[in-house]
Amino acid sequence: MTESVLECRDLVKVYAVGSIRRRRIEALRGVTLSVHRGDVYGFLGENGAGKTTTIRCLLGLTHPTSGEMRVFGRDRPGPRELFSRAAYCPEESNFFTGITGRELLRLYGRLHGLAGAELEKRVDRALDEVDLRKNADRRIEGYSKRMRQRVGLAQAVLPQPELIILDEPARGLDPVGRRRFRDVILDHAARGTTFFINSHTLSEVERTCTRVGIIKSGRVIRELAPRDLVEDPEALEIIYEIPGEPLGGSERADGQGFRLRVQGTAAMAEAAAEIARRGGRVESAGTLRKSLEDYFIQVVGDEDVVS
Amino acid sequence: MRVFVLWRYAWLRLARAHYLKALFGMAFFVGGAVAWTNTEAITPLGQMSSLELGMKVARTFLWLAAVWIGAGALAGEISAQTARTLMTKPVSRFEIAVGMLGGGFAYLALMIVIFAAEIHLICWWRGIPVDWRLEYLLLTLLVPLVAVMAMAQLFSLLAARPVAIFFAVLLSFESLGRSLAERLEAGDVLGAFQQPAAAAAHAVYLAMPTYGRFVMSYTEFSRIGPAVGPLLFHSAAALLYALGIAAFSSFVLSRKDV
Repeated sequence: MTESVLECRDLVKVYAVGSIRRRRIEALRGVTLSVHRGDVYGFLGENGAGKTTTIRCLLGLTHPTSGEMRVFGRDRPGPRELFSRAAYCPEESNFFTGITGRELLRLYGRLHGLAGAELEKRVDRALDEVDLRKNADRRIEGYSKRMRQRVGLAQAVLPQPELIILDEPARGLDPVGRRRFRDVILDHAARGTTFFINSHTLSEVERTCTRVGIIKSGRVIRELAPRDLVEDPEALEIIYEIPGEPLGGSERADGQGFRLRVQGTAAMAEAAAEIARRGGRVESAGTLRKSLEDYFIQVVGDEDVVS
Repeated sequence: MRVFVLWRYAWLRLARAHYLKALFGMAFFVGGAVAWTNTEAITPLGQMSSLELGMKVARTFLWLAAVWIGAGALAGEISAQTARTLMTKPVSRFEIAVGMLGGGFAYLALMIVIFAAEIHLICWWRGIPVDWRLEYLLLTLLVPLVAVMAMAQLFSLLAARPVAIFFAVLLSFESLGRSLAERLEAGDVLGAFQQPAAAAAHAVYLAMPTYGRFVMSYTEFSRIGPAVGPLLFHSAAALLYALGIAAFSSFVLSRKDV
């Protein structure tokens, strides 16, 4: 059985707001999820769904009202225990900006107990990984948003933790920056690091994550592997050419010919026979690939879907 | 020794904060300007030599700086959201609270060293014999300043910064809490609640590390001289206070949503 690195069960967080008339806001209404060792886990949800609150609960930056939470098999470990094995890269790279990128990494490295030649080696390696060596000796206040996010990632990978929690790593990044982030994540994942990624960039999640959890209104409504998400064995697609009128429900394909979507192999065989009868030719047929974005919109839009 | 790394972090933050540089420059100028006047002259504040007045000005600035630094240390980290990155490192909340105080301590120590150098320079220039007790007195200020800083740090976690500064300043006055407790003891306004209220006021007064409790005046110091025993006792008491308050701050910090 795969070891669970991070586990939440019925996590509830209620905020009381207002000083005179107290209002209760339920940010989390029973989050249940599990991240296994070696997973690259994508945590998806609309704005205000509870993604950031879940992450803050996991990091001990806020306290859940109720529910169970286990990290590395320990029930709510303290910061020393948790962060000697886990690292966090915040959404907004809010670091002290009055020092250089290298100084910041050295400082954080020392907090992880690194020192001397080992610290310098790790700092250089982290800077190389995020391609920041050239600007490492400049003050962070002069960095662009992309460079600050790279420093954020560098400080997270520096101690070579077993678990890295990333909050919106690709937000505001250009394609080159996103590619660099993805490469670093995949490289570390290949070496056995577990990732928990909170993201809105579905295309990145689709390319990077091995498992995905979708949160809606403070509850995780789906938790599965992207492979299962994007391939629906019952949804099939036929690309064909036909001399006369196309079959009903067809639409023009990108190249020549038409595209017809059918449900199930029997319907596909029927359609292929009809195409042949009308003198047409089937160019290709196969499983209809659904994008994660389509799936996400479908799932999040369905009010009744609750696990 | 993660706490020393946090000291360095807090020190770097303070050393690069522009408003503190401005405060420091102002204190340097005002303290020096007062000390520059005739030593024996009676100042507008009463029977006080200008050098002693200079010391008082320096002390007041240091005290205000301690309140300001304490109120901004952790609360500033939280409002700037840099606390999230710091608190997701393998350090306890107590280490963070003590580390922040350590940075402030180092900053105040530097201010005191420069003040002492300034006053010495003025004395030397004016041909006044150098009184080494002056530096000794200035250095002994450090410990109560840390207690004040710890108190301001705790308040800043419980309330907004202006409120925290207000209470820290209020509670720093030695006489305020004492007179409140004495008035409550003497009067009879609250009826049956008078004695419990007086006892509570006394307890609060005793529990609060008021600035005046740990600091000696120049006159008092001149009288007893650099007596090691009382000074060590004062310092140890103030340090224990500061550590106790830092422990309470770390508890508040661990319960706070960051």
